[in-house]
Amino acid sequence: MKRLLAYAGIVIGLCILVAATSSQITGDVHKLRAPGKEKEWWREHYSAWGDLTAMAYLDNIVKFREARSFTYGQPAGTCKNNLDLYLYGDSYVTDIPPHVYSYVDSFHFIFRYQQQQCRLDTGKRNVLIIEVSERFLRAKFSDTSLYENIQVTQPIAGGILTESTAENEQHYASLLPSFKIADLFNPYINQNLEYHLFNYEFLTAPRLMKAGLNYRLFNRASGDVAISDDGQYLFLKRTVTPGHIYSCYGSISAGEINKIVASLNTIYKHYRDAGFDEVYLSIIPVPATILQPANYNRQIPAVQNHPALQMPVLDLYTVYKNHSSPQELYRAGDTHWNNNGMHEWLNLVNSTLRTENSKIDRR
Amino acid sequence: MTFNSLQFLVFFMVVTLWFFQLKNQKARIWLLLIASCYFYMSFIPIYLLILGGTIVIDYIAGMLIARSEGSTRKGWLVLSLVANIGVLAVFKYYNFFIDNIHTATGIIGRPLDLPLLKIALPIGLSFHTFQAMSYTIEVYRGRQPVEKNFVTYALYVMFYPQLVAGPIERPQNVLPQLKEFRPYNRDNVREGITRMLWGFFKKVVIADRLAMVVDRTFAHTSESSSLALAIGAVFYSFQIYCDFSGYSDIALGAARVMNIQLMENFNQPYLARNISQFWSRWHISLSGWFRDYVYIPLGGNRKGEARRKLNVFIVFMLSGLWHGANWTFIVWGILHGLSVIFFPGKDNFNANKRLAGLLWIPVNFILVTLLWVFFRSANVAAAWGYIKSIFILRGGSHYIGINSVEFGFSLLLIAIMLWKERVKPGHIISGKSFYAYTIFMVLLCYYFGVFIENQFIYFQF
Repeated sequence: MKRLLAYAGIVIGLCILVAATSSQITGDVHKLRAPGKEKEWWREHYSAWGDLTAMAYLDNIVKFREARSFTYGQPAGTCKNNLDLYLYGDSYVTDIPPHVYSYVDSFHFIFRYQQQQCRLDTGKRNVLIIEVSERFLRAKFSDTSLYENIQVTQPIAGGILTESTAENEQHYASLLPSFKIADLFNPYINQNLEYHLFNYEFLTAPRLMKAGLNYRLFNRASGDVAISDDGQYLFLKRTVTPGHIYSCYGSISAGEINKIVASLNTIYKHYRDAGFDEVYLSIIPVPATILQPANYNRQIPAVQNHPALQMPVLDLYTVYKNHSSPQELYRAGDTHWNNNGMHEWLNLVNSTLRTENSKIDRR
Repeated sequence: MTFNSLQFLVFFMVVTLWFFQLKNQKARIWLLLIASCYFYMSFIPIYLLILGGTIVIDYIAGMLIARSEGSTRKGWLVLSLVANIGVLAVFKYYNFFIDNIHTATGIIGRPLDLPLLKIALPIGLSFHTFQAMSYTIEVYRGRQPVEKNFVTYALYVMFYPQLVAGPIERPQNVLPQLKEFRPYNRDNVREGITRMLWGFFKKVVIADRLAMVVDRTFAHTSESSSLALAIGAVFYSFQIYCDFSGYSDIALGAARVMNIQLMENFNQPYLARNISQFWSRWHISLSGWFRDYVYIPLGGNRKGEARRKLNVFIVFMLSGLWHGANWTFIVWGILHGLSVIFFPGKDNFNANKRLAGLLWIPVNFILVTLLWVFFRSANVAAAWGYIKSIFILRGGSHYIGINSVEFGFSLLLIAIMLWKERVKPGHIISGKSFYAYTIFMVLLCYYFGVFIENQFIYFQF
């Protein structure tokens, strides 16, 4: 009997190791366990109170329980819809419905992980807004990799041609079908093992208990989450870790700012030459930038106010900085804005679209 | 693959279960060698070739040394040592050396622009290189018969529990154990598991918790108060102890489960009453290596007091350099050497002076703690600034990265750790106590562990 158990242990252990190494197998396991949830299989826990609350398993802490509640009204002044709006963006704007944008005849959303080929209608004024969370500013705009996401081509069938799985691939190894020795030693194996071994609903309770214990005793959140100095907000730890590429703290060199600005100028020229009538940059400040600004590295104003920057900006940073109640712009347990914060951005966008539309009238 | 990872736990379970299902030692050696290759490759796969290369060289050198006499015998030993030290020199010290040439030639106004290597340091290079060298030296000295089986020799160097951070073993201790078939032994398994759990506790509950304070104070030296900096320095002493000795506990425990007894690497070093005693209790396998292969061949204490002091100085400077290619480690080693030379202290205190002896423990601890600041700092100037800031008793931020409850909890954990290792150093727990202890420690590590993917500090060496 003991021998049988030992062999069972060996086989199960090997299977788990192989499954955690192989993208193919882990993907298949995930499809079986959570049909329809292709993305982010490695983090199953969901909390209605926010992504950071979920990451830190702080669902039981009342002060971080701010429900997701957004309202989307009809914008004023949309009698002439002559704009084609292309919005490249991330999770801040993913769920915003097209009808909230003023003067827009045709709306195209390009998610940051996707690639999309755009067929511009020369009869319309084509506006591209490049929205980026501050934490991705340095990583995304130190080069022109954006070209892979937004491709402007000759007329074709239109719509999304390819949905890249680039981000998911970073979290998988590819043991099969094209096997490489290095695939056996992928850096995400522990993350995958955690999924295979411990990502079950019945194990959520002890995790919530551990997180609650650490919070109540030590005022600490676990994993990738930090608590604001005033204790009222959760921050993504990387955004407040000096030196991290996602961080709004720690010094950022003039050379790096210059490099970002140079990339933005190249991108601006590229898309203007490709046929866009105007291209805007919209950087969304991370919560720590507005809510805990003492050590802010001022990377947004450094880029936006750079004398060499050619791309026009939708300056949400200044709007937020001058807001009468900046603490009412972000959700307490989430990396994103709340309804107020979103509407400040929408006002800025619609005001810009109004200006763009007026340029058509003058034409 | 770090010991405090899920990958290691699954890997260890599979290898251990498989090990005991094999009924002959040859198969077990093959299993452990393959497992050790997988373990090492999980850091940077290609570096297995470097390790393999040195193993082949030392294996052949061992054979040639064994069948030669006189100067030829010595020649083969020198060749093998040059090969090992050459690998260390290229991968660990080349860039440091070139950097210093750049600085020196810049200072004299004739700058040289020599190329730097863009390579990462293979994990644990200094450990397995030293272990390999001890084999050829022992064969040369005739104290170890040559190992003719290549697979067994390769496993001696690569045995995964001690491959990347020691203990730096001797062939006389490990090779006979690797060759002997030993059946499953429940007491060894229990002792091994309880020791591993104690190691995990020291690493994830204590060391990684203290790391939050240490990282904070060393990153914010200029704005922190003297008190905060002093706490950071003291916590670093315990962090590095719990980190490194925790690793050793896991290594010794993992080997013990498979009936292999590795040498002890620590013996309550912070209870030492002088710096010499500290070095007989801290990283014992490295101290022993330098004693046997450097200090004694240099003459030890046989050539007069002045020569002894010089030998001690050389050994500690080399020990500092062994830890890393940075002036901070060299200065740390030199300061330890000078402390041993000029403040040797007393080992024995009679009954009347027992209290006086006890008083030397905190004095020695403070000295060791101040010297650790060099070890932890990015450069010598930063270390000096840190130490100076402690002693000028300045104000500033008292924030140390954790709240007062966690600070108190950290002190309690340190006290428990010291008490346990002093009063109950054993690890065999029989019957129901074993299961209760295991469950308790697993829960303790889970609920109070700090999981921030911190590698063990000594992996970098």
